[in-house]
Amino acid sequence: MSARLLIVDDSNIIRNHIARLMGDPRLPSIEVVGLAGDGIKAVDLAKKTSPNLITMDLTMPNMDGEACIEQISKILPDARILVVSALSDKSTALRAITKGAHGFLQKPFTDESMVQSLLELMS
Amino acid sequence: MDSNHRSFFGKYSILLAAIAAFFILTVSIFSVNYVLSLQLANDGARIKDSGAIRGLTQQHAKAILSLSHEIAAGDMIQTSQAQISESALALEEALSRSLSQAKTANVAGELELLAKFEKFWRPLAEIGKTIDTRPEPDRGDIQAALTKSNANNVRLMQLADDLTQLIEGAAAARARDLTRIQTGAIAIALVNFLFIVFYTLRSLRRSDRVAEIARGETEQIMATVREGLFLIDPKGIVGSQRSSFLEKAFPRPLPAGADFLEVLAPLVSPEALKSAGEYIGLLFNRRVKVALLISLNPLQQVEIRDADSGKAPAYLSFDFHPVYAAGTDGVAALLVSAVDISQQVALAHELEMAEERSQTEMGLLSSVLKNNPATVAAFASNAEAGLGEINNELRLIKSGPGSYNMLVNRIFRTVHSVKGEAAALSLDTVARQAHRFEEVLSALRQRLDLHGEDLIAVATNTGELLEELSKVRRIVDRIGALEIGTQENEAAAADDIHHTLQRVQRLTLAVAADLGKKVRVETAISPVGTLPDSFRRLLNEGLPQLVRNAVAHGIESSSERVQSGKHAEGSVRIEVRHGDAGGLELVVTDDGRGIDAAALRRNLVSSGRYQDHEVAAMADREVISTIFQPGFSTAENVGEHAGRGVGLDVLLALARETGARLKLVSTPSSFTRFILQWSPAT
Repeated sequence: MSARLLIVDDSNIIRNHIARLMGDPRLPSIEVVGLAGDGIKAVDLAKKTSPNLITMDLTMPNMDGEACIEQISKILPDARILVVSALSDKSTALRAITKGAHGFLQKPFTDESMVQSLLELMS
Repeated sequence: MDSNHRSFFGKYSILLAAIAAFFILTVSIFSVNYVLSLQLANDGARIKDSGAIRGLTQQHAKAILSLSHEIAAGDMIQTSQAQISESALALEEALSRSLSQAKTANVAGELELLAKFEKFWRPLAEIGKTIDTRPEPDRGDIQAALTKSNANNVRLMQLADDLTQLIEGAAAARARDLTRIQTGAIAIALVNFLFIVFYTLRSLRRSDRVAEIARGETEQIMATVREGLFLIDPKGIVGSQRSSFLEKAFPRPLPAGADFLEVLAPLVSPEALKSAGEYIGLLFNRRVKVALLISLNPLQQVEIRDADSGKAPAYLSFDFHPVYAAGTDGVAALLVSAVDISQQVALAHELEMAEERSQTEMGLLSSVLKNNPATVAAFASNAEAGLGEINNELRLIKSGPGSYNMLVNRIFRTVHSVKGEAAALSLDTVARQAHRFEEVLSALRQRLDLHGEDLIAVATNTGELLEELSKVRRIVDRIGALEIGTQENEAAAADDIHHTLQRVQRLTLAVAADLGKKVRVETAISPVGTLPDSFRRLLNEGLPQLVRNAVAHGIESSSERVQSGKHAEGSVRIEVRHGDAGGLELVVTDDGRGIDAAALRRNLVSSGRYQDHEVAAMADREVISTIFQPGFSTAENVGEHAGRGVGLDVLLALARETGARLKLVSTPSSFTRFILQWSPAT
């Protein structure tokens, strides 16, 4: 099954940056199926595009990452979710992962760390 | 799983072969035993048959003899006849059985003996048939039978005996074989058993030795490693194996079987404990990728406060490594490593401080460079002198009614001046330190019952402010070393007013920005030549207080100004001009709210400084003069720029010290003007 990635982040710059990284030769072919700037759009896109990989910001307008992870993991129980967030509050990140995410990558991240994290997530 | 099987069979192959051999041997012995037992039983039956044959031969001969006697005597012959017939029939049966059994028994000579027996028996049997059934047998037949019987009987008896002996001999040989085989087999089984025992013991000893060495090595590692190592299971229970260093790394005993989080609970913050519980739970969760959680470890650097031990808080770092159950990807336990990182944390803290200090020094350097270093040096000298005087007074003060309070008031004015000037010179670190000092002093000023020990904080703060000033001085000295001496004197003289006005302008704008007001600064400077020292003091120390006062108290907020029909932007005008009799004047005018005597009266009463009737008895002039009293302020909020009721009393003191006169002119809602008149005569 080919990798289908949904990128969720309220920053346009970060969304596009992650999307551009999918051309990295170390990564298998990953199709970016959606970009969402808030939790509600992310849940909507998850329903429509059925991604199996998701990068998830935690602090977002409308619906935060924690609630978003909870909903998406009910809709797509097999999707693997990587929380990508600043480390200002470890307990929020831990709670989010408890709700159904699979891993955590600290912001700001390097290209290298994002690629390695995605590889680990897919293993 | 396959490899496990292979190694299992590989390890125990010899033992298994020995056990298999034991089984095979046992089964073989049982089989041989069984077969030989059957043969022995058969031998017994044949011996019995051959014995029967002998007996029946005798019986047959005896019956024929009896018949002949009975015939001769004329007796009844039926019994003898029946005996001849029955014995012959039984003998035939036994013979036939023996023949068939001899074929399978395969004993050499047995068949031959039986054949001979039959050869001698057959004629006798035929003759017997002729006499055994007829009611009156022929006398000749009986005589012939008797003769034949006598002739063959001895031979038949001999043959039957031979047969018995032959079979008995064969049976005895077989029994001996059986005994030999059983003895041999038991011996082999015993050897096999001894081999199994020996091999098992040797294997056990060898594996015990390997286990002993491994245990020894593990113990050495656990005794030497400089980390506190232990295991916790999915329920968070601490395991029994741990490194010796754990006792040093962990402030509390961590007994096997204890709940790790329960032991940790009194040592860390509730937040850290909660996060630790969640984190450990996640590490056992097969869904998450452990490698992608490491940065979330809430115990990576955790402050340990052991209230019972009374020791200073330590910093520990806990790392959690998953231990996978053999052959699965499930986490069976977590290997926890605890390290005391207090020293590293302290070092990091020191580094941070050093970085901050170097940044502060950079900030100081740029502030000094913005100003004339000579001006900054003059400020530092004045301030240090003022603070040095405070130190002296603190040392010399004698207790007496109000003496501490008076001293605190005096110190307050000095510190307030230092703050104002430092802010004007953008020496932020000094201004901040002076502000902190002011806060301490202002708390003391509220009290009327000051004691000697209350002044300890004053002495400490004086030291800290001096420390900040010494930093400024060091920088100024370093810059001064770079500058050319001659240039310093001339340039400093010529730029005195220019520099002072520049920094005062910066101060004015900074104070206005802090208070959210819009202010424009205008200057009008007459050519005055070289400034006398005392007038320079008025410029350096008095002017900042005057503009601060103008912006904080005079100029209204933009909205207030617009409502009263003024321009939103307030104006502060600074003039330096010639006065009477070769004197000089410093004039600061703001177009703000002016001084309203009626409002002042209300303020004096509401602040509790005067009673109603006292204020009523005062002339406007007197009311207005109260603004020069120590502690007076009309600002509602105490901030860095106003509200402490200090400023104008400092100004008044300064005027007295420099021999200047302070004049105040004001029109409510229009303007306030302060004039410092300095004359060389005084």
